[in-house]
Amino acid sequence: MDREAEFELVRRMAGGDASAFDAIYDEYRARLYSFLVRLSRRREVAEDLLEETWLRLVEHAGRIKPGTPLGPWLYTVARNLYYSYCRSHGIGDAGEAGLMGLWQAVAQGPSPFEQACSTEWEALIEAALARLAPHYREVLQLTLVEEMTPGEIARVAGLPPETIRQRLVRARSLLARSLERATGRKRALRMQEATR
Amino acid sequence: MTREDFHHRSPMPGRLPVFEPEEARAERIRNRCHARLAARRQRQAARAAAAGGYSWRQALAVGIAAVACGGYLLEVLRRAGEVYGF
Repeated sequence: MDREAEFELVRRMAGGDASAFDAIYDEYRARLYSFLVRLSRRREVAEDLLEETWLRLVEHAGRIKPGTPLGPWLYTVARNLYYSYCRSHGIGDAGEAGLMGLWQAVAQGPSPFEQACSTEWEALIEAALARLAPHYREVLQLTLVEEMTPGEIARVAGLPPETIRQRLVRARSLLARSLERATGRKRALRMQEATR
Repeated sequence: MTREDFHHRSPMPGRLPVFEPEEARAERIRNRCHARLAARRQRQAARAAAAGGYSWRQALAVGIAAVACGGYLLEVLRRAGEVYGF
């Protein structure tokens, strides 16, 4: 959906048009939820924050300026809500993440054949992502899933683009290292089983 | 796996799965937003009606004032005519 079409939908929504809301909701619901669920690592929290994000959009639709990209706007709101939630609940980011049964709720994905080949790899990536600090998780997600540029992520995070670039390099390196460790462990386990 | 493997197989856009919230929850969110939009439509309609009512009353007041002023002016001219014998 291009930016003008998006803004037209926002303008109609500001006038109370429910079908315009539905079009935006269907476009962003799963992507935004995926962002929140990977950021918070808790399904219920992600759903609460998702709800609040959409209510904010409905409330502020009339104040969104023409030319404002809607995706980054939504991610900014979702991200800010997540950090507010963490502050108000005194939550740091300690602890190993479980995968929260994420795999049962896959909405879009590869074909069954591709899934069989890639599930293990994807599960490793999810686990490695979940082990990263939230500020690394968010830049990786916005880059790899949403294809945002460092400039766009900088606007979402309210930070200079250079900081985002540095975070991205660091996050990629941490993710790679984590994957190396995970696959090394798996290989060792397989070898152990084979030698039994 | 080496680091090169990772970069080669890096999770490209669309490779990571997209998750959906529970269907019931997704519908609840949609319904809440629809309800807010409906309330907004009602507010906007009420505001428009109020604005329409105001202009109608305003037009009536201006009309009455114009008739009164016009009548007064005509009466002044008529009396002036009587005084000066026109």
